Amino acid sequence: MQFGKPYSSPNGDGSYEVNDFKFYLSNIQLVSGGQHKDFIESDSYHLLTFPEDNRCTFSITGVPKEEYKGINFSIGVDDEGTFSKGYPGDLDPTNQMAWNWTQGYKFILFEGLYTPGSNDEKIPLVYHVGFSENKKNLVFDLDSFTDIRFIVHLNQLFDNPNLIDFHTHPRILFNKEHSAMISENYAESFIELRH
Amino acid sequence: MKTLKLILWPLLVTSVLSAQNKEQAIIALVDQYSQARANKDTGLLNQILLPDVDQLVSNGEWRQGLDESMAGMMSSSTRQPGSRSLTVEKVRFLTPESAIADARYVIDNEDGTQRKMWSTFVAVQEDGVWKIAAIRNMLPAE
Repeated sequence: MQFGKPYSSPNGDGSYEVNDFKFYLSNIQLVSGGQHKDFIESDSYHLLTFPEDNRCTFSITGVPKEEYKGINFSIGVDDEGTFSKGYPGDLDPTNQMAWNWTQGYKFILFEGLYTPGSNDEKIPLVYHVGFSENKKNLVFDLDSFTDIRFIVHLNQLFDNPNLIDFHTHPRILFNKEHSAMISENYAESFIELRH
Repeated sequence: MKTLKLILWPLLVTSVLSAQNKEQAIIALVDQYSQARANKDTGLLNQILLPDVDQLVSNGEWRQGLDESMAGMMSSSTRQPGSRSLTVEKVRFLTPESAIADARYVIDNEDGTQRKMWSTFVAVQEDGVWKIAAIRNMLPAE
């Protein structure tokens, strides 16, 4: 992904470009499969941003040297983080991810421009998804325990299982029904573990 | 105790040009591969190579799988410095989701000589994204 570069729109009509994209990944848990204790990261709130080198890397420290069979995490922020008095992890009300109309955080922020195939008009795209019910838990099996690599399929955010038509819904911020459509998408094939 | 690193790459490889012209998509893929080799960009290689990619290089060496292929690419770029150029001459689609691209592969050695080869790429489309499934290099006999 490159910011500002045109990509095919999910509905096949025209193109879109990405100007900003970030999301919260939280509550990371390494699953042992019962042989020893699972590892649960404390203050596990990571804001993932994607600078020009096109990847996001972060580390989890203090992990016991054991075998782990899976990794679980959430996209979004739980109520414990939302209502905490301190700001654990990457939670920060000044980091552009906090709502300014209510308490809490946007789970995913996507902003860009859509150019329909029929003309050169550029339509701003704004997708800010929050709401507690849109925190989605993802589960992956691990077959090794070295660096863990994931692919983030950005197109899937707008495509699977719910097609988000940029014409019809160029902005989704407060509408619970439409926000849920995007959260169902990022609960599916949005993040892929790279074996 | 250990430190565990998590790495996430956002993937959006299919460009508008690619959608409108599949041949251009394959040429763009080979260009990306060429750029990744030139910059030793393992992140980009990770995005454009399939996990079970294999590669036959001109000395007869086989590289099986993503990790072995990438390690070999990085090693040969270090062992054989010089600028590399890949120019796609022909793209043939076997199915709508698979294609063979033949490219001229020229390495400009630091001593001024050139190594002129052919490089053939097998590309497949997965979830709308073209990726490299196989690479075959050939150095014509003198």
